[in-house]
Amino acid sequence: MRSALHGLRRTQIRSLRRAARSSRSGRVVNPSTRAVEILAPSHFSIVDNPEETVAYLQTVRRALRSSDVRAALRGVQVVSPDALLALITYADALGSGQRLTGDLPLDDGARQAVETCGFAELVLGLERKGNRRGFVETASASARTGHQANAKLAEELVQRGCAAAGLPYSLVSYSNLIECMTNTNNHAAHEQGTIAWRLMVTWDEANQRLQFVFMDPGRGICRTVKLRFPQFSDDSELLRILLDPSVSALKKLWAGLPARTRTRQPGRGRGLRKIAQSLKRGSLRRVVVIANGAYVDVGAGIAARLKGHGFQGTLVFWEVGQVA
Amino acid sequence: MVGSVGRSNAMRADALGHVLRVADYTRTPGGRYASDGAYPGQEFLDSHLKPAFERAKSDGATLTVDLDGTAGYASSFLDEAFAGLTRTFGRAEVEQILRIKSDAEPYLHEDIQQYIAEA
Repeated sequence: MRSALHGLRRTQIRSLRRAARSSRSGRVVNPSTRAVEILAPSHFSIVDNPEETVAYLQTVRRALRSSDVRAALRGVQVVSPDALLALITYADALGSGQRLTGDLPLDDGARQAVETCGFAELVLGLERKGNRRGFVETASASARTGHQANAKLAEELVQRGCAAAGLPYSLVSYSNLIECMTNTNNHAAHEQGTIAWRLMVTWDEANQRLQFVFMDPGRGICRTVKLRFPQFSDDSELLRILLDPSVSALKKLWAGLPARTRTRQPGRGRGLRKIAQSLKRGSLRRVVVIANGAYVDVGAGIAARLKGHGFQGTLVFWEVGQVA
Repeated sequence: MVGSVGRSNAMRADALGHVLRVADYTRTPGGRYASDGAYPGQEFLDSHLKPAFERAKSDGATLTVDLDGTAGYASSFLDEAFAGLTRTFGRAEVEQILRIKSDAEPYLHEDIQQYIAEA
């Protein structure tokens, strides 16, 4: 009886043996497709399970540098749109010849959530860089991508999301979208480049939640702000202060900087504060921001460091509760 | 301190001073600069707010900026408009002449006061 490895080149055999060792960590190479399969955690949510989910996303990103990747979601039992948006965003940045595919959760509830947000269209149908699809519209979800602040689009998506949820129009959600878009436009890119943002609005009917997720895969807000405020080495402390609307927090941000530097920062840092303020004013139900090595859940008062390499880019998540 | 104008005072404001409605400029205010996209605060400041403020000033009247009737406001739009106005005319003059009307988002009055104070 011939060995299963018969006929394979030495490099292929080494690759498969490496894959077999990696399968203990959820990575399996499928020799017929040459794709590395990476199993997603059962609770696939950046906002609710940040450590595991961010670690998974980082593994996918690193694997995509050298091989096709299959993001296996079949074991997912709980999923939130932020994790799916991050996968879509990384898929969108693929080079030529790279491929990100995946499968759907076996769990009925999780599969429905994945299907209704349009993930299947955006990832399962995505093969090459030139075949990007940035547009998804379902009965309960909208996903878009773009550059700059697209005010008309922001209004349209807020109207659509609130209509699906049976809620009055959310002024603060529009405001938050414009804040995020302009932040990406001005600060996310390295050097002279531009970074595309991606956003998703989903109405989770089962849990009665209208959720907004905004993400860019750029430098991350902590890294860009630290260029101006180098006194902060801890990303989580910096992000917590940026999201604290109190005057004392602003003073802490400026403390130790010469007045000359302060005058060159007109309006800096207001965007995140305004987003956090809308939570405290009762206009939103939840606000979570993840960037670089930091995770902050504003309402819960949680500011935590992410282990490992942190999060690539900036992600802002909010849920609409009482609407302004 | 910049005055606010409540709903019941809207007609009175019309009679006593000038009124500038942001919704007449756009329903969808954008970011800070033109490079951020359409309907930026800088354009609103240069083409609408500064001229209206000059007219109110030369007439010896107040200027009420009505923020209602739009899709919402990013802080960068408001900061560029009102902090920019303050950098041009000075805080004392702005606080004397400017009034803010915002029934849908009353807290914007407080935000704008902060932008003026920190300009």
